[in-house]
Amino acid sequence: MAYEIRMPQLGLTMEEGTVTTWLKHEGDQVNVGDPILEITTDKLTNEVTSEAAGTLLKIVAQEGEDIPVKGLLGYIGAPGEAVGGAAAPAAAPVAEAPAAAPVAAAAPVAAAPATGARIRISPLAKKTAAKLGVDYTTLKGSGPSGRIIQKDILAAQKAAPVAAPVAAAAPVAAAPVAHSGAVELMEGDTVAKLTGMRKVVGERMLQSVTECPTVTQNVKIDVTELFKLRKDINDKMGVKYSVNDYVLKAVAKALKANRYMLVSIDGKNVIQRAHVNLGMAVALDDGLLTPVIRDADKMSLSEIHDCAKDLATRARDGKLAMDEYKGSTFTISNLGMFGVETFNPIINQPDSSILGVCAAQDELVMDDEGKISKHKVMRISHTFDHRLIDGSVAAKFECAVRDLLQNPMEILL
Amino acid sequence: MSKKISISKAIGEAMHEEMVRDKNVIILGEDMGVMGNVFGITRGFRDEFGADRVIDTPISESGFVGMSVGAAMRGMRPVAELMYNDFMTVCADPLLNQAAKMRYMTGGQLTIPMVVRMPMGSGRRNAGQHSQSLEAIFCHMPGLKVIAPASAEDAKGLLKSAIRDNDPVIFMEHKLLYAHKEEVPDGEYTTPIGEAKVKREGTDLTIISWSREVDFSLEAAENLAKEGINVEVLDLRTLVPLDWDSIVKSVSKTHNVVVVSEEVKRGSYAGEISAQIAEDLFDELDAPVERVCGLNITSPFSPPLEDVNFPHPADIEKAVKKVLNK
Repeated sequence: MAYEIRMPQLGLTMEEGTVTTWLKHEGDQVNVGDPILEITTDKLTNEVTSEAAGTLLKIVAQEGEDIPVKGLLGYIGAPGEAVGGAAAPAAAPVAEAPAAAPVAAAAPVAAAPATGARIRISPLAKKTAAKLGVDYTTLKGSGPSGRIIQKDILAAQKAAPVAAPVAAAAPVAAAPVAHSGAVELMEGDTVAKLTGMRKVVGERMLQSVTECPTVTQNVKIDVTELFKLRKDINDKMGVKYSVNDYVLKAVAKALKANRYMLVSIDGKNVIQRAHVNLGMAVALDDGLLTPVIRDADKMSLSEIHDCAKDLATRARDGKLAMDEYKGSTFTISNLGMFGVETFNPIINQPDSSILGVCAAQDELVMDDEGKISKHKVMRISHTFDHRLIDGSVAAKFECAVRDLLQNPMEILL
Repeated sequence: MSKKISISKAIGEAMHEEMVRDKNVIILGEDMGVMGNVFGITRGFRDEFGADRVIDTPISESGFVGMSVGAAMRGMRPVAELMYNDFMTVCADPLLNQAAKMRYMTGGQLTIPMVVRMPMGSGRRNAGQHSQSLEAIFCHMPGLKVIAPASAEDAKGLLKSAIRDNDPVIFMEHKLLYAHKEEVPDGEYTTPIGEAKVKREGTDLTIISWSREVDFSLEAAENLAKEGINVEVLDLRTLVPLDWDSIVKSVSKTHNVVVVSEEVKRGSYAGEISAQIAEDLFDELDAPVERVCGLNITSPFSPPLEDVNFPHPADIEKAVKKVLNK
């Protein structure tokens, strides 16, 4: 029997992957360990290597398709071997749809089993539904044997705005996301499926905001000395340490002395984290990632610089390994380069705290004698989960960060 | 300007014009000379062109089709006739193994510019050995072009193109179309090989057909129109090379397909077209492709039985409604 290539689960949270590129083609010889295709998840791009030797007999999942974990991607076997019998390919993806099945079953097909029933839909209707963003799982088909045909999709799309209240009143509110088609389309609008990283980022942000009672505190920091020191070191040592490198180092040091910031809530328990693992938000074209600098408190400035640079580069190239963006205990998000003055970061759960780093700008400062001079001033915006961290405690940590950045020699000591 | 002539007359005109045009064109087959063909198509040809160019052959398809292959190799343009397409089995080797393959076996040094005309189809009470529609066998064989016209205009224009073509062409003529009188343009014209024709524009479903079933499909389409079903009818005209672009265009418009032919359904060319559409146009389909063909039986001699063995307009209408769930 032919070996079935299936979508691997590359992380606990991975539910589906997108087939990006087939590296082998139908008919190609494949050995154990050969890369056969490239997949993209919400977090990274990864090669799937073969666990069988033989000929790539059939590619089932085409490039660009989203396939659930364990969904069929293709077959490897002896040349000429028959594959794809017994409806194997269909099983995985379609079985995902049972949530809405009771409604569908109640309507057209008397014989259809109530739950887990396969939804009968024509290829054209399916394609049209994807294009228009219509959820067809609850539709009643008007084709032979209750098959959903294109006409039904078009009708559903047309009816969607009007039918919205009815849909909301219906008992099956199982779907967690807003009902597709509820947003009225206007001339020139295009609709795309929410997939991959965008989808996961969205879900996680929503969950964090819904779950955490947050407080954000903004603290002003005089970084005049820091800028001087940085310039000195860069000039003398011929290096290019960024302000962010110093901030990372300072935060790691402050966290080491204020470990109560490194907590996670887990139902009725509180986890005190042992490691200072700094998640570092990296913006990508279609979302963001937070690769983790592990045990940052044990690193020198140059080590932090190298590590941050390497992680950011590989994050942008989609080359991070699975464990490299997991296990943060605190997160830093730096928007200083865009001139952002303050913002309100959202906690990257299960962390309980996130530090926003803002732009360094020239400000006039009056000293005790009334003399006015030009200073570099930067703000940090610290958001924390008030369930575990109180305002005064958070402020103590912020002061520790501020003191380090205002006396930069202490960062290096 | 045009004139109204029978399809058999149109076929005769095509051969006559090409014989006048090119002295290498010769006609051969059973009863083609003195009798002027069993359907009267070549009546008078022998007197006009002589017995050297209009040859009465013995009853040996293997012999005269083999002879045609040889003549074609030497630069003649033979137009042979099998009295019925059923007799292709007698001359399978010269047709399928020699004519079809010679260009490729000789690396292009030889071409076989021959045409084999053959009446086909049922409905004429000719029983099992004279009533078949064997296009699938020819279409299966690489190296042959296969034409099956439905109208007088196409029959004439395509036969002229076939005679001028440098490869072997199988030209299938439906016996029960011969007597149809239709408009044909005056003067010289040819119809290109490999181009289908939309016989009727529609939006709800595409009927793909050829030969006599095109007429039945058009009749079915008219009846369906009265019920508000708007059917497009695509006459393939040439079966090989297949005008895939026209199929894509029509299917992408209507998203529903019925393929109609007179063949035995099992292993039919209608099945091949259905499969190609399922493979390449899956995402355009709103329902499975339906075939309407003959039954999987030997054509019966009994007239009432024979009449239920090929698709009638009512059968086509039924299939269309099944696909559209109407």
